[in-house]
Amino acid sequence: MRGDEKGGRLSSQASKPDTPDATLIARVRAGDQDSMTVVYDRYGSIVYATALRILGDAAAAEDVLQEIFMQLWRNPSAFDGSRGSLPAWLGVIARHRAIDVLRKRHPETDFEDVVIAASVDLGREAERNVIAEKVRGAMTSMVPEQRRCMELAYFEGLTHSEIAAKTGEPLGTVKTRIRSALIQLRKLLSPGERS
Amino acid sequence: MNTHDQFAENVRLYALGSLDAGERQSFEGHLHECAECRRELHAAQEELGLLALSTVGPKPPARSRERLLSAIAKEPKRVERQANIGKGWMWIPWFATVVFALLSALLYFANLRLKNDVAAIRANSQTQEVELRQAREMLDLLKSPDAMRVTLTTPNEKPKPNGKTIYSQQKGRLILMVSNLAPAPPHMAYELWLVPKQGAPVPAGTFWPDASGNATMMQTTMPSGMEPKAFAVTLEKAEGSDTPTMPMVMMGAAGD
Repeated sequence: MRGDEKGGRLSSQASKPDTPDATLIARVRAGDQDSMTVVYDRYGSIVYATALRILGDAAAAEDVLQEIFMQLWRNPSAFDGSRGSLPAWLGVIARHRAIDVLRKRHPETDFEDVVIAASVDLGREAERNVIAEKVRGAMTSMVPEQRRCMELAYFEGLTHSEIAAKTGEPLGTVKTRIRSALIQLRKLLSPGERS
Repeated sequence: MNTHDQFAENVRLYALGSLDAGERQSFEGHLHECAECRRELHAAQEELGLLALSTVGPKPPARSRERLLSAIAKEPKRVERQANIGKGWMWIPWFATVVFALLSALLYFANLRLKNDVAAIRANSQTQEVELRQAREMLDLLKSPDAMRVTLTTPNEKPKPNGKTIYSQQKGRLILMVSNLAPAPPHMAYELWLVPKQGAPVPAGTFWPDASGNATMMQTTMPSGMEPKAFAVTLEKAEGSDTPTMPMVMMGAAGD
């Protein structure tokens, strides 16, 4: 049951799988549930996979998935289409929330505070797949120590001091490893490299 | 490396949440002021988003989709429908105008009162500033190494050791000024005592006179509320003592 006439009219337009993200979000703002369903079908798996990788618990990952999409439904304006791509934004939010759950703490990041650059075009699934493959390749090509540092920072949300304590490596080395890993990633995604 | 460069190095670590609490706070302070770091942060956030994109794993179970759809169906959004505002609502702009006028008047008077308060605070602050400057000048003079202290006596009389204490019972603060005092023997110090009307003497600090026999000491941590009967000075071991060792070098009764 749609909430109103406007929502019902928009829903018939929104159900196409190739509708741009910005249009979908605009329709979600107008209360269109079908557009929300398309957003979920498009990006639910990114949020779930990230939460599951961090939490290692399917039920907890499902809760994070539910919470994030409900928040987006309640406050779609938190995502500003002019300041980033929706899948990357959802990925960052998913990571933050899952780490909050992992560390048993109250949510530390507001959705509105997450602003991301949009230097990479993630509008189409094929492009997303190419980028994802490149990022996976970059992670695999890292030396094991560097990959370990990145995984501890990214998937476990540890601070560099905690990583240093866990790996027994000097603090400066840990910082350098993480920083250079992300710089490597950035280079990989720069226009010259992408082509 | 300038301050910005030092912070710029931490942008990616901040985006990851890898900075420790102290570093995080100081970086956030810098972030408010630095547009370049904000741009860098947004780029780093994108990198993190792409890392999430590359995470492989199973698809969410079908029940998650049903659960979400059911939840959003229960929470229909309140959508603004401007076109439905009919003539029956025409009083709203008039009402808003009246409210606005009332609020403006209220704000005007509040502003007037605030201006008066600010003027009073400024006047008070200027008075306090003058008093503080005078107090500081007096203290500087008392503590100045070149301050000359001359004790006036009847002609041909050799100056004797003497001291003055100024003590505030309420504030628990005390100043001692002595002159013409012989140097303390090696490993010894002079110690000032507050002798209360009731109870044992309370130590009020050790001091050493300079080459001219002068000393000034300030105590701001005396227990407040003690009614002194007298003040006394004794010679004690250098680190001070809990009880006075006789004989007294100087003594003065309170109220003399």
